[in-house]
Amino acid sequence: MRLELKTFPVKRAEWAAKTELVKDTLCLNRRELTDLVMSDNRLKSVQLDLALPGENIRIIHVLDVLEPRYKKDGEGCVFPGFMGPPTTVGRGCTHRIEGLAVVETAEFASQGRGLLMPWEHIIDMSGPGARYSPFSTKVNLVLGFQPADRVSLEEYDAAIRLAAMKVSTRLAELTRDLTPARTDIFELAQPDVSLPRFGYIHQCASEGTLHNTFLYGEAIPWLTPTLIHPNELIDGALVSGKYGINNPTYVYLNDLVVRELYRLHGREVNFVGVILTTGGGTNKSDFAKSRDAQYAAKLLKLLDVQGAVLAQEGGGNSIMDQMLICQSCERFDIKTTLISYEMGGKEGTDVPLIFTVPEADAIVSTGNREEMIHLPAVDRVLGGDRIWRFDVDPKGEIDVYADYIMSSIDQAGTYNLRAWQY
Amino acid sequence: MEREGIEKNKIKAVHFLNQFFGGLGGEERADAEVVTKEGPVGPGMVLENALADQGQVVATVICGDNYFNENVEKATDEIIKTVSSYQPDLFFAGPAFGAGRYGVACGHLCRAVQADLGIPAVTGMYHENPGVDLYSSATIIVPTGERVSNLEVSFQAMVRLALKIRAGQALGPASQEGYLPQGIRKNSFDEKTAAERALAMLLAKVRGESFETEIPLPAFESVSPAEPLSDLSSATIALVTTGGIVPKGNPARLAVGRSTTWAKYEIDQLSDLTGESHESIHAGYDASFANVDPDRVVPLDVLRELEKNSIIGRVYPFYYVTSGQGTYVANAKMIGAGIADDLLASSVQGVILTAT
Repeated sequence: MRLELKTFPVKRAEWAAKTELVKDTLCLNRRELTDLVMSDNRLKSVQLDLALPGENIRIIHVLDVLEPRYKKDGEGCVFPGFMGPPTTVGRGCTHRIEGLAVVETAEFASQGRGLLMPWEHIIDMSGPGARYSPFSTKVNLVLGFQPADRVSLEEYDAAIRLAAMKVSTRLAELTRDLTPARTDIFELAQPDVSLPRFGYIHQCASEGTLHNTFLYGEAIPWLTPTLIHPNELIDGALVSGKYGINNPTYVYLNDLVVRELYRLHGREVNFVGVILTTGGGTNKSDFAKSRDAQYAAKLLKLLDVQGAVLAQEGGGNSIMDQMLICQSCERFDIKTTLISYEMGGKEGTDVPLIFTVPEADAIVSTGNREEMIHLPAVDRVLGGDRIWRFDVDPKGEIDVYADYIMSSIDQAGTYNLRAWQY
Repeated sequence: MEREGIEKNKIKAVHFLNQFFGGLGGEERADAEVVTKEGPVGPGMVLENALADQGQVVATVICGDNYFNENVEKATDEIIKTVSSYQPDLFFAGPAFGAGRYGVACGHLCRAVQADLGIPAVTGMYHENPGVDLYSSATIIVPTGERVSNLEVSFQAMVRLALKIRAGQALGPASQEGYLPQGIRKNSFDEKTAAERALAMLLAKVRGESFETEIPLPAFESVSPAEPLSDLSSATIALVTTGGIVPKGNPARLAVGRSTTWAKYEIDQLSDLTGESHESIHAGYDASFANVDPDRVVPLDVLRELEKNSIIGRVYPFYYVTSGQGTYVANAKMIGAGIADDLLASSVQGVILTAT
């Protein structure tokens, strides 16, 4: 599995007569992209907007976020199972546009009750809230959708996902004959047997419509922990359709733990592979959680792994899953480090973790998700009219939990928000 | 040696010491009442050195450990009055090291000085001193060793923090600024991403090198269960739920999560809960099954059957509800205590508590 990833940086974007990439400026033809999306009759309309870093814009109702990538050479395609057959990916040559995010926004009329409601996610492109989202420094192509009549929630959700993938692919394909700024090679060859063998356990929740993760095109609610090659993540084999406390597809594509393990591979560690497990509330019983935790640890043990990073995805349940996985690993003599957010309440005085095991002695914090952030009024809002749950005007001043800001507390460790002890 | 007197333009500090450090005597003088001396006393000289050109210790208030702990209000009042009379800019207590009664007095006084006089107050003690548990959230405590040592280092730290507080500067995280954690965790941005920090931590752990976790594990209280019921067939059983099942329309406007309140509803005339009469407002589970039949979360139907067949004595005519999703531990305790109080006032002997 050898993958060449070629990077084409974009620093700005503008509407133009022709869709093309000129140096680091992305020119977009609105009509063309609209037609591309609207070829799907499950959609009534799509609104395309650009939100650039520093602009006085607030994007709300953010669903998934993608990074434009396409496969230039080799088998399969990026987002296998969606943009093409479920061919094994992670090989050949893939092009990516760096600095651009394709941002889905939509409201769902029948928003489900309780758990299956989508959560509000916001990106402020400037002001004090910008810092909290990694997407505030990206050029965001914001897609706002409306469903056609009598389209089910599942179909609408699927149509949104496909639309964003089509747009992402189209943009990535603009780089076909261009020279990349950078080429990275991802290959786990020539393992040095003297180096410690490291693995990565990556949770992906899959609990139903609006809260699904997809692996090669299929939702994975009953996933028994499984082994994948990190390159499969880089090529979009794992796609997020989860709009709660979750990692968007953009994060799966750019997983930083994978990057770090690759960086250290051959020099300080032997990066062996990635285990996917379920997260969030997918496993709803002690029995299921315990079964999957031990199973994941066992897979690493079969691979002779000595150290593992454990990421999370989801709410409180995911902390429980992660702790049980930690315990199972440590009992197999696999040392673990956990990446976890905290639930310390608004004042940061409440217990940060709802469940612990004594073996979890190495935890990295991604911040207290319940700290309140005051966001100022903005000139322009994209994505909707009312903030969900709080039911307030998104254009005005609002106070939101940290976890309302897109990827602020990213559970796969891609961001640098952290809680400190005072 | 004659003291020069209080110099203008210098920060004035008052220092609190116990009988031992104050030079009155050892354990036999633990009952010493409050005594005030001009200028620094004993270790107070080291404090004054730490203040250097910036300030001076204008007075030292001394009190016996037992006298303070046995007359907390009286002693505090007296000491507050004395401190106030000097109109100082800063107040220092101790450090108390491992001495428990002294640590408690230091913490208590620092808190009182801050609250009543608005003067920045800092103390120091060993992290296991009982004064820490009681006062670390109320006042800044510099960590010291258990035994008396390194006075200079301790006072330097105490002075540095006191001056920062006086200047209105926000203190950084506890480990960086050198004070004992006050039980608050606040967000800010690290230089490195969590992924990078995780790998660095894992490498250290695997290599047997030292590392520090970023989230120390909280210690959960262990709660002893009540004694089992001796006679179920005569017992009144109540239903309590954190599953957010409420009468349709949520009349009490209970929160969907992060709750601070609970509600109590009558079920005397009901043999079960239905999708017409009740609904789930809980934001943490797929409520579709519960909305079709809320008995799935609050099993009134089964309890009525047990009542009819005399397996239990009686179903309590009210049930209690809150939503547990994301609810803070502290608030959960408060809600639990509130419901428990209400149950105790009634004739309930046992509770079926359902959570989701």
